[in-house]
Parts: sequence; C-alpha cells; structure tokens
Amino acid sequence: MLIKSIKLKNFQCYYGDKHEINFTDGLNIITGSIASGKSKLFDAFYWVLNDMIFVTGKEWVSTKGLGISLVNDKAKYESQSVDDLIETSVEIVVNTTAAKNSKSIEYTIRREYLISRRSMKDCFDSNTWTTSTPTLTVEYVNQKNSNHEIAQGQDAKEIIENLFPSKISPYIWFQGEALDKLIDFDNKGTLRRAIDYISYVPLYKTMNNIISTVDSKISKSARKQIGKLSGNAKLYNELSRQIEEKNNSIKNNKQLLEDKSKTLGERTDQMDEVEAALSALAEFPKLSEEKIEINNDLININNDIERLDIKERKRFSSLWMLYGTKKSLQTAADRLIEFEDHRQSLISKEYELPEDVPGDVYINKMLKNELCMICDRPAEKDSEAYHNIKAKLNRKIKPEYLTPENEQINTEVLTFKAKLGTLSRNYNSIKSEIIAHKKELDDLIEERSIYKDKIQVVNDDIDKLYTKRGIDISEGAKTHRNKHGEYKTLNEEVRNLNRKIETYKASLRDAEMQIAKLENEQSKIQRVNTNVNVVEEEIAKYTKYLANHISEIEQKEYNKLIDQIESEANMNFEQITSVNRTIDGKIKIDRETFRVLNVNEEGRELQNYNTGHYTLMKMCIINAIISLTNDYKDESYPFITDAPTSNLDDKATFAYLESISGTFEQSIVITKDISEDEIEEIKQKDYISSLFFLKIKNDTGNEKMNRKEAYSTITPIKN
Amino acid sequence: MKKLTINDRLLESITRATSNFSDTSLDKTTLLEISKKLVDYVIEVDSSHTKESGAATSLENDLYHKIQ
Repeated sequence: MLIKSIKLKNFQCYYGDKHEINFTDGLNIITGSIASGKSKLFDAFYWVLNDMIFVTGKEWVSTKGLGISLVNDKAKYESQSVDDLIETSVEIVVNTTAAKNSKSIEYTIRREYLISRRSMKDCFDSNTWTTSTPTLTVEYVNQKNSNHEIAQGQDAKEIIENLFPSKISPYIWFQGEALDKLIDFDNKGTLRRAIDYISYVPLYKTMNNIISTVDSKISKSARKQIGKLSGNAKLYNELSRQIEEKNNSIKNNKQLLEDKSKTLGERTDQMDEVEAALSALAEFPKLSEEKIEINNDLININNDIERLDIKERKRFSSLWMLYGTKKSLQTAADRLIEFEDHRQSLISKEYELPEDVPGDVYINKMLKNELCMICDRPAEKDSEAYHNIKAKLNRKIKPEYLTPENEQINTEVLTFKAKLGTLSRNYNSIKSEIIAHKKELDDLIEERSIYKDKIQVVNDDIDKLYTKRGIDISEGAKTHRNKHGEYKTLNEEVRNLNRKIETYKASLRDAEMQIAKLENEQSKIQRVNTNVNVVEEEIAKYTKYLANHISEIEQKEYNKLIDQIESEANMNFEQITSVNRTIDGKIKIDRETFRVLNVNEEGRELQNYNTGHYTLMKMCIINAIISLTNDYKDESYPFITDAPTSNLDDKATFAYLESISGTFEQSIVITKDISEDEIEEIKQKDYISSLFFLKIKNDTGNEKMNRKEAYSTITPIKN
Repeated sequence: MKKLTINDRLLESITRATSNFSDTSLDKTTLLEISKKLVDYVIEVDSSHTKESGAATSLENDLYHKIQ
C-alpha cells in the first residue's frame, strides 16, 4: 500500500488550501526547523484517519476536544464578519497493492471540519465560533461494478481499519519522543502482541483449541465404550467419572486463565499508556515544583530585602536627623558647658553678708564667750540674749539658682548633656550599620536578580512546554498526579492478576497429572472381550497425537519468530552501527523476560549504552517486525514517523534512514535533523526518493512570527 | 516459484515438526488428511472463537467418516 498524497486546508499552521505533498514509493523525507509545522503534518495524517491527535499530557484528543485550535489562526484572524465559515480539511490518497485476485484500488480519504463565526469578539476565543462535527468520506471505485462509491460514517471507518489495522498502527505510526513508552520492550506483552499480529501464531492457538475439543469429546466417548467392555465396569466408570471431573476442572480453569490473561493484557496496555503519559508529563511536576521552590526563595529574599530596607530607612533617617541637628546640638552642648561653668563659679563664690550682720565667726566667738561683742553686755548660755545671738548664725541668703526647681532643671540639663554625648558617639555606629545594611541589601538584590533569571528560565521552559503540549503547568502537574494514582491502582491489579494466573496454571498442571494417573489405573483394568474394536479409541489416538504436536508447534513457531525478529533487527543494527563506532554490540531478545538487550559477542549485556543507543535498537526491532509483517501477511504498510532519530547523531541518523529505505516499500519520515544548508547535499543521496522542506513564513516581512500572520509552507526539493 | 498460501504454510509446519509423521505408527495418509481438514477449518474460523465449536464438530464427523 502506498500513500500517494496529502492535502491540507487551514489545518493548524497550514493556512489556505495550497498545501499538497505528492509522495513516491521509497523513502520520503520531510524536514524543517523547529516550529515549521512538522509535527502538525504528522497530526494531519493521524487526524484524517482517526479523528484525533495525540497531545502529550492530554493523550488522545478528539476534534471535539481540540475545537477551534485545529483551525488555522491566520484564517480565523482574517475573518471579517459574523457567519463567516472556515473549512479545515485533510485529504490523503492511498493506493492498495494489486493482489492475485484483485486490482489496485485508490482510496481518497477526507476529513472536513467547519466552524462559523458567532460574534466579532476575540477571534481566538472558542466562544466566538460555532463548531460542527467533522465529516469523514472515503471515495473509491468499486471493483465489482466499477461504480464510483462514497463511503461515510461507519462504512468509511471500516475501510480505514482494513487499510491501516489498529493492531499494527503503533509500529508504523509513531513519534520518536514517545517511542520509549509507546513501544516498551521491557513489557513481555509488547513483543507477544507484535508476533500475534504479524504471524500465524494465533492460528495455531485456534488449531489447538479445535483439536483439543475434538480430542476431549472423542476420548470421553471412547471411555464410555471401553467401560462397557471392561472386566470391572464399576471401577472403570468411576475412574472415567473422575477423569471427566478433572477435565471439566481443566476446562473451567483454562477459561478463567484465558479471561484473566485477557484482562492482564488490557491492564498491561493501560499501564503502558499511563506510563507513557507519566513519562511525557514528567516535566510538568518537575517544572511546577521548581517554580514553587524558586518563588518561595524569591519571597524569602524579598522579605529580607524589605526588612533590611525598612531598617536602613529608619537608621538613615536617624542619622540624617542627627546630622541635621548636629550644629544645634553642638551649640546646645556648648551652652550647657557655659551654664555648668557659670553654675560652678556661683557655687564656689564666697557669698557676702549684709554689712550690719557679723559673720558667723564672730557670732560663734560671742556664743563661746557668752558675751555680745557689739554692746559688750553679757549673754549667758540659754539666756534670751544668747538665743538672739545664736539666731544670727547661718543667715546667708541662698542664691536663686540653688532653689529645688533649679536643681531639678540642672539635673535634667545634665541628663540631656549625657544623651547628647551618647548621640554623638552613635554617629559612627549608625553610619557603620547603614554601610553594612547597604552591603547586605546589595547582596540580596544581586541574589534576587539571579533568582529572577532562574524563574525566567523556568517560565520560558513552561512556555515552551505549553507551546509543545498545549496545556498549562498546573493542569499538566495535576494530570501527572492523577496518572500516578491510576498507575498505582493498575499496578496492584496486575500483581493480583499475575498471582491468580499462577494459581490457575498450578491447578491445571495438578489436574493433568491426576488425569495421567487415573488413565494409568484404567489401562490396568482388563477388558472382557479384547476382539471388539472401539472406533472412538482409534480416533482418539489421532486426535491426541495432533493435539500434542500442535501445542509444541505453537511454541516452536513463536520461538522461530523471535529468532527471525532478532536476526533481522541485528542486520539493520549492524548496517547502522557500522558507520558509528561509538555504538557496538548486538541486539539480543531475552527469551525469558523478552527484554531487549545490547550484548557483546559472548552474549554478556553491555552496561554503557545510552538512550540514543537503546532507541536505535528499538527502531531496528520495529523495522524487523514490519519487514516480517510484509513477508508473512503479504501486505506492506507505509511507515510514517515523526522525529524518530532525535536521539541519534548525524551518521547514525543517515544510516538509519538508509536502512529503513531498504525495509519499507514506502516510508515517510518527518525530521528536524537535516538543516537548511545540508539539503543540497542530502538530496543527492540515492536512497532518498523525495525530499520536502517546511518553513514558517509571513507576508508582512516582520521578522518576528506571530499567530495572526505566520503560516507553514511546503517546498518540494526532490520529488 | 509458486507463492505459498497460509494453508500451505500451516500444513508445512505440522509435517515439518513431525518429520512427515515419522514419529508415529499411525496411518500417515489419515494424519495428513486430518491435518489438511484442520488447517482448512482454522482458516475459516480465522480467530473468531464463536466458530470454533462448529469447526470441532465438523472435524469430529470427518474423523468418524475417515476412520470407521
């Protein structure tokens, strides 16, 4: 089968209806720089066939969920009036390969989505538009009557399922970045499912079921007939009954085993999907936590800055006030010194008494002599004259400045003076404190600037993630938490299912052993008439023989396919690694665990291989699986992949591309690994059939691309 | 070279695994005929389990017819 062409109209970044790629058989490469429309092209393939797009973090999102984001922004921006209609469509033309009894058929698969303008408000707001349900049509010429047919709805879906079976899709349609989880070879079921699809192994299972059913029925009839001829019919029939009981138990346990295995497969698939989603979402909680952490650090730094700033302002205003009042305070201090000196001089001054009053020296002399030395009259002790003289003692007039009020003022003046001294001593300490704060503040502001840069980097990463995934950080982190919960529940369920499956297997083994024992006992019972031929017994010999061999064949074919996949994968791997000496060893599929290993010549696992190396091994196995599908089923599918080689270096990338050019009848590889200046050189390579270059542009000449003007273009370089 | 059909490939795997039924004294022609029938029924069933019991009954009848 070949994809002949794809046409896009107003699909995401593809504006208008001029975008068409005509593919050839062999290797078709579509390249372009980041954001040139490569992934949107991959989405277009997926959307036209499945009505959905894989949005990392949201998983599969249908047209309904995508809404107007599916429609080109420039087309929406150019809409001029209410009721304007915008048509978004993708059309692919597929040619099936002619077979023995049928001719090649050309199918035109088209999905169309219409939106109409409801109001002239913001054209990028989903409420501004009325959306509709997309329509799917498949046009082809009926081989029986040569009529031109148009299938719609379920009929169209069935045609698509026949053309691109959903079982094989994961191996032929994948995005490189999701490869690790999409195809998880650590999961035993992954290879088993691939083998089931590409091979006849499921047919052996059906064959085994049919022959086992026949064998069971025939053996039962045979035992019934032999029982009639038995010398000890009672014992023989009792043993038959027990065998039948065990057979019924085996039948029930097999059914339970099959049911549980089916559920286990479903749960394992779900776990794979959840794991893939968790892996794809891992950036969200990481960035979210990083952002919260940096924001908390920033809050702490800002609080420190604010605290220091307030402190500094207070200190600065104190110093400023101190400086401002320095002169006045100094003057006050000088005056206080003068005041103090004056006071001291007054205290030290010998106060003069009035001239009519003798001094205390004379008075004391008069009291001692008991004689008034002014009038020369006696003044005996305790006489009136004596007391009159004594009253003249200490008659000094106290100066006004020594009153209690003035003493109080004096005390306060002294305190004020002491404070002034302290304040002037504080000039220097406040100044040093301000300088220290300034330094601390500068350091914090520098630290804040570093943290602001950090938050900018995280915000840029968050923006990039939003552009890439279409979901914001909190939604992504929330989905991650939910998925983690789902994973834990599924993991528990898978463990329980595995335990039950092991129990059923043990019961089966036990019942089979008991049947063998019972049959052995039956064989020892003699028959009454040995000449009677029991036809069922004869038939059972054939059914038993085939039943035993077919279950062996199923296992052998399965092992053979693993060998073939391993061998074919190693052929691809050698071809690619021969140009890159940093990758060595070979691919080995562990037959017990089905893990894909990189081993040396002695079969020992190499320890030093990186993600790119492992991805390459996976891609080689995928190539082998698809290549064997082509062999076994006589069918070929186009291989379509976006960014398969993002983990490989240049040499390995081109070796890989050369390898797939030889594996698939048609491959369409979307890659960013070919730069614009390499295109001329690359197009010369023989193994590349077609080469297309995608570029984002606008018609305004603005260097900066914005959603209102920019659109992707497709240029055929080699076709 | 004639391209092998799925029936051819399935039958071939049985005869190859048993070395053309050399590991048994059962009648080889009968074994080959039963195997052919079995393969035909399997292709008809084509992994649709609902048809398996019908295929088993048909094969049982074939065996009676062949061995009686």
